[in-house]
Amino acid sequence: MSFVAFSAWAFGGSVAAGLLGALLGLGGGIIVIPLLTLLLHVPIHVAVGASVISVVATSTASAASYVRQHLTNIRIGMFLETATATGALLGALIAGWVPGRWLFLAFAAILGYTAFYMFQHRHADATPATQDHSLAQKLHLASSYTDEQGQIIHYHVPRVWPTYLVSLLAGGFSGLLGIGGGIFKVPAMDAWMRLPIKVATATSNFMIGVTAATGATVYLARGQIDPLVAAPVALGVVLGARLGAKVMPRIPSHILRLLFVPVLIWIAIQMILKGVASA
Amino acid sequence: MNTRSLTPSSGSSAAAAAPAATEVDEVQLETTISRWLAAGMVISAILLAAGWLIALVQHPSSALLTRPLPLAKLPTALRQETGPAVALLGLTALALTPIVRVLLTLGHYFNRKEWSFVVITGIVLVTMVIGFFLGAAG
Repeated sequence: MSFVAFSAWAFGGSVAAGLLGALLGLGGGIIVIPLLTLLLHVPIHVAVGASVISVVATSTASAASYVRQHLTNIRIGMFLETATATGALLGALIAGWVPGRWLFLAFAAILGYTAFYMFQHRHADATPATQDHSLAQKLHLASSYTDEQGQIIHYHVPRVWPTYLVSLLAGGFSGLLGIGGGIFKVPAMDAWMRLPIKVATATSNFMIGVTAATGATVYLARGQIDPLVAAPVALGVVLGARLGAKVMPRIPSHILRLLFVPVLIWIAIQMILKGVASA
Repeated sequence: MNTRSLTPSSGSSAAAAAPAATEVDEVQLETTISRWLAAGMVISAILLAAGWLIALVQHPSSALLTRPLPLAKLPTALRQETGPAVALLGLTALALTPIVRVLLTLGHYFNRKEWSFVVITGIVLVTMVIGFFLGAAG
């Protein structure tokens, strides 16, 4: 494939990945990696490098506006980042030594979990908690945000440590596979920290920038990122995510989520086959 | 502005959370961070697009060779392979944007003498720096 053709496919595919990712509440990575490996035959290590860059880009672009809108809880974000950054460091360090086959299989497992989660979970926001965990109190993690009706919603943080552990794990996968890991963190912030879903999503996205950047610096320093693969992918995903945010209000996202479940399962099977075949 | 209605409109959510006594105002930090992130994004997007376009113009038909480019080779690459090198600059700017965001946060908490968050932010920063050097060495 010529460079022009590759660029066009990678860019166009990444716009689609970013758009779909924004609509489904997934990061682009979960779609970009199969796109690059299965369709464009990019080696998985190069695909992971490009994906981690696209994750930094999406997070940075959307965090700029979420933070301004006071949706992001910076204090919770910083606190959990100690876990995600440590996990990402460990994950990125072992990534160079993990055979491609295992990367494919681990990725397939995460896709399977994502499909399961999206199938099971149709979100209704729980009422915010009214009490703080002692550590949450000490760190002043409680905060508020303004909802669509312009009402100020105050929320407290009743439990801290289960979400911390999940963040460590999410960071590990992020460093290893070049994904953001929001699919693990958002449910954990929702279930245990009882954060409103918008706050959980914005805060997860905020943290992902740092997690992915930690992984990205390791890859960059090692020369494991191909700039000419990463550039069209990063630009495409950011553009797609912006488009996605624009059309989002006009699209019934829960129906889209259900429709996407079989697609995720199909991609997972393809990744397993590829992993088994790459002996 | 913050007039919480006495009769909740939804009815079901009777136990709406009250503002916590510990809630702190982070408007100043929020403004700094959102401006910084937006600027970092624009600068790196321009570099990425420029590098990619230069490469497209210089080698439109060459078969794609995936050639990762280590940061250490950037100075020589800038003269020999302008496209990938400029794109690599963009990638580096992009990766640095969240890292500098952590630095700005550290400065903010240091000024406010919030030592618990100085420690938390410091841990994140140290982890990132270790990552870079271990990665560069390995």
